This record gives sequence, structure tokens and C-alpha cells, in this order.
Amino acid sequence: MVLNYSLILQHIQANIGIFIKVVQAVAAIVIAYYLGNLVARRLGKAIVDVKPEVLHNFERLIKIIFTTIGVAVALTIIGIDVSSLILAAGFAGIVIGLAAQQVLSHLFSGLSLIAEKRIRVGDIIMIGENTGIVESVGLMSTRIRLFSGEVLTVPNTDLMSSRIYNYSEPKARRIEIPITISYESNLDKAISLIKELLEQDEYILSEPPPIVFVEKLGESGVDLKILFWVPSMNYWEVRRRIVKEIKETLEKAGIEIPYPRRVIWIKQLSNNIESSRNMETTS
Amino acid sequence: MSILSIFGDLAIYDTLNIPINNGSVTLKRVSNENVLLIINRRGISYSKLINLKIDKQISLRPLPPCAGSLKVDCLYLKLDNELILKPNDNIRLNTRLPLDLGIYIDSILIETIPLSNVKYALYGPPDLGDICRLIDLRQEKNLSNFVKAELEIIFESRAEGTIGISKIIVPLNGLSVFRDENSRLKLQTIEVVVYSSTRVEVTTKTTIPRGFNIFSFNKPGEYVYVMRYGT
Repeated sequence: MVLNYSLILQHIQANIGIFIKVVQAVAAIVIAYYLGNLVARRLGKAIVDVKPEVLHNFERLIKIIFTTIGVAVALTIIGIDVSSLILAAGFAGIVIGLAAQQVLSHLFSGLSLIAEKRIRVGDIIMIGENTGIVESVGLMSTRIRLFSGEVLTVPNTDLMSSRIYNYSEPKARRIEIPITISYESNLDKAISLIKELLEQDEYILSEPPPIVFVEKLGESGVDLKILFWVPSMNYWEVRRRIVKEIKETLEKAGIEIPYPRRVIWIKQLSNNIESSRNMETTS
Repeated sequence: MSILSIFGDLAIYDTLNIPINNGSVTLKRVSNENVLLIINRRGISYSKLINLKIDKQISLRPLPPCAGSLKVDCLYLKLDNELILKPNDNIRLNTRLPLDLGIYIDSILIETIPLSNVKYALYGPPDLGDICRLIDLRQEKNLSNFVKAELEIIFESRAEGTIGISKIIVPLNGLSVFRDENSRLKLQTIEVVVYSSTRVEVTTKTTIPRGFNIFSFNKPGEYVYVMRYGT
């Protein structure tokens, strides 16, 4: 046992320089990592007027930069030439770049999405047939909380090449409601009642003014179109409510909203049959 | 009880009912610590519990028209007639604006209640423009039962040609309500400088004229709205 201890001590004494270097290298990485975290957190608190997705990715970038510097310092301490490593990394970069084309494509798409501000955290968007709220915009993918509750993760490349409908960007949105009233109903009265209803609603904007007009003379009745603007955030609430209110108002005023119908002229047909019978009896 | 007569500081011991346009505001003492505020507008009622000790007072003050379901920063003031401004014209326009009700405790605004009909308007395109509270001066003339304050608007033209103004967008911040020596309610003067039909600067600035008592304000300071989407 005594011999073993002395052997270990001898070994440590002989390689003390290397041990110190390893400790220093590890310390450099740890310090760089914690410094990166600290700077990212401080910057996160200091920068107020930045969107959360930009801030989140910016913090990650700072951490990566600091940790990379820490690793470079650690390698220099151990005695590895960083410049040759950088050269090697250059070649490796080309190889990795070719191999990880898709990953890099996602990454640049993510950066582009953030820079372009096409979507932001909290926006209501429709992509394909999916509608939901953007939960996070990462460097590689974007998470969307669908209205049905599921979380949809879309790779940024797909998002960049898709048609995105952003419902949160405009401050106001237009609602279009088609409605048909019977030919027998008073058209002017119907239009004026609808306009009055729209004017009374707090959320329906007065400018641009609501429009109610005859779109066409349909098969079942007169087809009207109602167009009005509402604040984006109240779009669904108003849309759900107003259709019901229009129906109730028209019904109260005795204005008929007709079922689809077709008028068949049987009289003409029976006349023709009778005249042909008459012709037969005469002949 | 008329709404005009209740502006000021009040102690709530029992129940106070204030009729407002299309509804009422009720303050009901529920305990020594709390008061229940019940607001009824257009048949829809909601209530809030306010911490107000029995020895403390509540302040009811007229506010610039900033209350309503949407939080907006500006007023869309639709003039009753289009104003034609020739180069270097300086015109003063006097009108009356409806006011809202502000409920304060210890000078802190805790609730705003509209006293007139609330409508909103979009100024500019849907993505870049602003949603504002609409005040249509053509309709306001016919509505005498609302609480109103006198307002002076000064138009100054620095444009090269003649410009027609049918609306102005007024920042709500900076607008203040005063009471003059005759106890009449007045709003801060609004300054409008017209450079072109796509550049009109509307300024509200909180200043306390000599001899006047400031009654309430939305947010004190100087605010400028630049109208870029036409007049």
C-alpha cells in the first residue's frame, strides 16, 4: 500500500504540469459557459422591445459563442494549435455542410423567418388546413398550438415554402355574410334593418363603413351581401353572433329568408294536354 | 341623480345608483372594506369588487372619451363639415366632445365607463393603420343628453395648396379635462398643423391654464399623431 501511494505521488509530481493544464482547460470551459449564460440572461432582461422568438434565439447564440470561445481557450491551454483546428474545421465545415444540407436549410429558414417577421409568437396563423397559435419560433422548427389542442411542429423550410395566412397581423378584418330574402319581402326595409343592426354593434367599425348590397337575383330569392370590418381580435366573436342577430331581426320584421325553391308551371302543361285531347276527339 | 351632479369625491356608506346612457352604475357597500361596482350597459351587467375602506372616498371624474371595450390610443374625430384650408390659413374651430366617467381611488384610475355610444373606426390600411374611438361630430350635435366638454381645435396650414379636412386623428394621451371658473367642463386645445394631405400633425399637450383646475387626464405630456393616410 505504501508503495502504491508513493508511486501515485511520483506520477502526480512528474505530470503536475499536465494536471494543472487540464484543470485550467476545464475551468476555462466552465467559466465561458457560465459567463455566456450570465450575459444572455442580462441581455434578455435589458432588451425589452424585442420579440420573444428573437430574444430566445439570440440568447442561444450568445451561449454558443461563449462556449466555443471557452473550448478554444481550453484547447490552447492543453497545447493544441487552434489555428490548425480552424483550418481543419473549414474542411470539416464543407463536408458537414454537404452532409447536413437539410439541417442548415432549416436553420437559415428559421433565421429568415425571424428576420422577416412573417410570424411571431402569439400570432394566429393558418398553414395548409391547420389553424392555431404560434407557440415558439425556433431555429429549426416552429411549434403551433392548433385550436383542437394538438401541437403541430413544422420544419422551418416547410414553413418558408408554404402559404401562411397570418390573422394577427392586420388590426382589422372584413367579414362577408351572404343572405337571401324572398322576392315578396321589402328589400329596402331589409337593407335598412341590417344596416341599423350593424351600426348599433360596438365592435363593427364605422370606418370603413358597412356595406349591404344586392349581389344578384337568385333562384330562391334576392341574394344580398353584407360586408363590414371588425378588429381582428373580435373577428370570430362578432361573426358567430351577428349572423344569428341578422336572422332574428329579419324574422321579427316579417322578412322571409326563403328555402331553396323552384316554380313549376303545371298550368301551361295541362292546357297543352287538354288542347291535344280536344284535337284527338275532333279528329 | 344626474351624472353631472355626482362628479367629485364621495363616501360610500350604502348604495349609490347613477343612471348613465343605456344603463346605470351602482356602487354598493358590501363590507367595511369593500364596495361592489355594478355596471349595466345595454342590458349587459357586470360587477367588480373594489377595496375601499369605509373612511375613504371614491372620486368620480369626467374623462376624455377613452373608455370602451377596446383599448385604443386615438380618437377619430369626424368633422361635421369638411374644412377647406388655404395656404397659411389659421382657423379655430369650437365644438363639444362627449366625455366618459373615470372612477378613482387615491388618484389612481381604477375603472372607465363610457357615457355615450361607443363606436370605432379604422384609420389607414388594416395592417399599418390604427383603430380609433369614433366621435362623429355630425351625430354628436343631435345627442344633447350626454356629458360633454368644450373643445377648441386650432388648424394651421403650411401646405402649398388648398387641403380639405374631414377628419382628424387625436392622440388620447395628453388630453385633459378642466373645469373653468363657471364650472364648465373643457378639454385641452388640440393643435393641427397641415403640411400636405398625407402629412398632418395633430398635437395634444397637457398644460394647466392659469385659473383653471385640472380635473382629469388620460396620460399627461405632449403627444403627436402624424396622419399619413389622408384627411
